Amino acid sequence: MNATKNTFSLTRLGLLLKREYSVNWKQHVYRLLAIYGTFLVTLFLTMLTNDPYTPSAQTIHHFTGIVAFICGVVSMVYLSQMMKPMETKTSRINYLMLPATNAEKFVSRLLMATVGFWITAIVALALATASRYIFMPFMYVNPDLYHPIFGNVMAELFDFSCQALDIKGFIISDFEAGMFVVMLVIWGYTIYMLGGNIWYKNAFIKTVAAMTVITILGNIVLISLISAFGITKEDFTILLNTATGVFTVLTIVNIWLSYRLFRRAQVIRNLKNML
Amino acid sequence: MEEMNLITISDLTFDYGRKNRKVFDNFSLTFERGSIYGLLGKNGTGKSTLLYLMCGLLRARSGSITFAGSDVARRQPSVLSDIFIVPEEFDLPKVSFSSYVKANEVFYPKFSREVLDTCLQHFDMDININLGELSMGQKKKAFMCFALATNTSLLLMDEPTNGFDIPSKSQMRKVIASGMNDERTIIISTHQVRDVENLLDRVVMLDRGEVLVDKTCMELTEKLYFAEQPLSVPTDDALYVQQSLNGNSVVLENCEGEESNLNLELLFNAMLSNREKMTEIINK
Repeated sequence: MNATKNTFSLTRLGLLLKREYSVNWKQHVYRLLAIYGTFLVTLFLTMLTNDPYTPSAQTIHHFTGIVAFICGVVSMVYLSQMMKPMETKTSRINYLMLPATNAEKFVSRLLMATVGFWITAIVALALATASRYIFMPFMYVNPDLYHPIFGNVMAELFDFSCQALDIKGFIISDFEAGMFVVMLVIWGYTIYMLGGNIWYKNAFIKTVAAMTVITILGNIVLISLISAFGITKEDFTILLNTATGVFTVLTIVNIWLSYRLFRRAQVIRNLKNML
Repeated sequence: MEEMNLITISDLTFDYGRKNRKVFDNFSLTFERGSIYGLLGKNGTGKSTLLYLMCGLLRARSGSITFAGSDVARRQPSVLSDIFIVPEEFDLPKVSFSSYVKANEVFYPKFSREVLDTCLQHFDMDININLGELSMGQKKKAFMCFALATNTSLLLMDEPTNGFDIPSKSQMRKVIASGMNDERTIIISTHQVRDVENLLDRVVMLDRGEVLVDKTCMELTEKLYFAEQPLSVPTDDALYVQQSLNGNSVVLENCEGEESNLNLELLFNAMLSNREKMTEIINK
């Protein structure tokens, strides 16, 4: 037996990531081009619908809003495809036989689906904002838009994230509201990760369907409870903090279950055996 | 004895779902170091399943499979880096073979560029070929070269000659023979027994989840005599008779200690049709 270590190795994690990007570089380039194309078309249409008297900040704001939505959706697609190497029997054999620990393989796929996506999105955004000079001369736009806008868009995206935490109404403190929104969003993303480990094929569509059902049922239960018992400001705080705790636990469960499903995966698909 | 055994399968039970019949039920078998095994059996008898179980791609319901003392089901890197499987069907990415080798060789500590170059030479292939432009047979050759170059202690091959033309089968035999050493075990699962007959050291034959034969080729030819006889020669003493172009192909008990070439196809058919008598003679 050779001296290959069986514990988690950052070196091997790096080799896995290097292998993925060198062997499947075409797929990653196509994804980059698709996201870039989407951003560019969005930028083109945003500028087309604004006249030269529209403040540049407003144009950038409109564009950034759509970019944030696209990034939200595409990041879920990336997560639901995190187990693409397990899609077919032949690719499952290749991937399961790769000499790395289950944890290294899982973390490498997770990093590609999260960090990898965001790097791709930022590069695509930079390219799209730089490419606008191709069509801008043929459009009537605010001259301020000829200045670099990439930094403005990134700053707006960051602001959007902070504004998402700003829930009006019953909120007692920004921290409680912020924690709730953060855990809700992270839980939502881990659902797509779990979906990607349950359904290797068409995982995004199947997970969206499952999420739709969960959301509808959850809302029915919540509204029924509120209608039945009424709710005061103090009750809402307790409910919010409880919900934050529940979503935190569910997030951990999703991540644990996703890893367990992968660790127990076999060359044949049998969900019962994997659980 | 423990060190000689590379793979030890103990009391293995496996099925593809509780409603299906068991493929293996309290099945035990060992594979020794430094041999080329032929794994034979009818369709559906579990040959591919056994290969997948041996490298941890399937998990048994009960029993254990150990590779050099480690449980293969845990899929630890130290085990995975010392086992390689060439499945019947496989995927290769659409990149140059040299890129593929560069990306994957780092996971196999005993990988040898010399072995890779030798295998490629035997197959008349170049390392800079683009895998996306190759036919299935050419992809298989490239994959086989990589598999042999990993120098893993255990190499599993499932129907390796499928998709090969006649010259390629001859090249494959040379390639496998050149990649063999005393520390390595190669297990070849195949129906095309004639393609690998001259390569094998040992034969393992499965039927209905049981081991019918687990002997070296030498032991088989010591116990059995394989011959081609004219139709006029009586076959009353034959354990098995099969008509051929030249007359009859027969399997006889080798009472005189005569030498003959092992005919795997005849052996296979003889074992299936006259199981009890054949088993009694082989195990004498």
